[in-house]
Amino acid sequence: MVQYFAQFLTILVFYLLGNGLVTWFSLPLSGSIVGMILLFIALILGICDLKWVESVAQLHIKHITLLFIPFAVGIWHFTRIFRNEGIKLSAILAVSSLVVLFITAIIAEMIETTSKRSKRNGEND
Amino acid sequence: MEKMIDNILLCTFITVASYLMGVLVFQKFKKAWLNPLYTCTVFIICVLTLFHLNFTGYTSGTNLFSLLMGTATVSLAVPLYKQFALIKKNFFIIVCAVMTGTLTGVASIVLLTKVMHMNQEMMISMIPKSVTAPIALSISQSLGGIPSLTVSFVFVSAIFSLVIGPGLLKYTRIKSKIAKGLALGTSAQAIGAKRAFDWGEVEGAMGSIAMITAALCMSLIAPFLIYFYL
Repeated sequence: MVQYFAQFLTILVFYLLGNGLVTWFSLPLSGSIVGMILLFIALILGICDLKWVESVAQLHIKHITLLFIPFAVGIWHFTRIFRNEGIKLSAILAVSSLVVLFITAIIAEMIETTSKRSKRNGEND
Repeated sequence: MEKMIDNILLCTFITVASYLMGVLVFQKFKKAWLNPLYTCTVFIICVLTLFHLNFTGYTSGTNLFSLLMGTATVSLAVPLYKQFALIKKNFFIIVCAVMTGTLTGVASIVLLTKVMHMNQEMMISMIPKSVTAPIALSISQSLGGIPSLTVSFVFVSAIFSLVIGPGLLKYTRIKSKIAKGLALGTSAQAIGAKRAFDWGEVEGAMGSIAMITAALCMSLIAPFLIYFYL
């Protein structure tokens, strides 16, 4: 229990650091993202050991759904919008999601095949 | 002040209790549509309407969750760190593919909302729709969108990508494991990454990397959007 608490505090420190940096330099990013980048860098550089944050981080990610509930309940305010424009909204979301999916896949595949081909050519020389 | 604390305690209790019940129900029946998010939301809306409690009170009583959302976002550094070797090896592909995907996502939303005459608030709430929910929320807030709507857009588009995505990839003959994982992770975030793990270890890992990379790309793009459209 103490260990979990300590881990949570470590993560909280990175979150607060992120928030601090954002306000200090008036960055156009959110504090949580800067906190995440800081923690990632700290893990790579070995400033922060994986053991100090791992269990709580995994617990957080596993139960992240819990945190969305208040926002999902907030949708109740907007039922009118969904009733009036639901079909339009779904159409936009569906088209845009598939565009994202397809473009990402095609670019990744293109880069992979070209780099493989150039490697093979290199071996032939 | 005391009343406020009572309110926070009550709302937190209702939310956590209904979540635990939702998880139990989900584990018992194992049906995808029984996802705790849906069951809990419906349950809480019923409770609030039944007891004539007001929704604004409930929303302000759940401020604790905003803090946890922040620490949850910071926690995403851990899975990213665990995949570090894989990221280093495929850095170029990951960044190019996910960045282009995210940019076309934003462009398509702007274009489609303009064509369909949606108002600006809607457009802004939709822009972060293919980003993992905690980060989509903060982007939507900072651009002036409606966070509640953004959350629902995120989940709706994730479901679309999950249902149609694998079929589309098969139809367009995309075979590369990296491409498949990145595509699902970029468009369907966590549930996409989970689905990609069904294909294999590499696809799944790429899915979770793509989810976080897309979130980073979007939060880097977002501040510039303000200059263009506001």
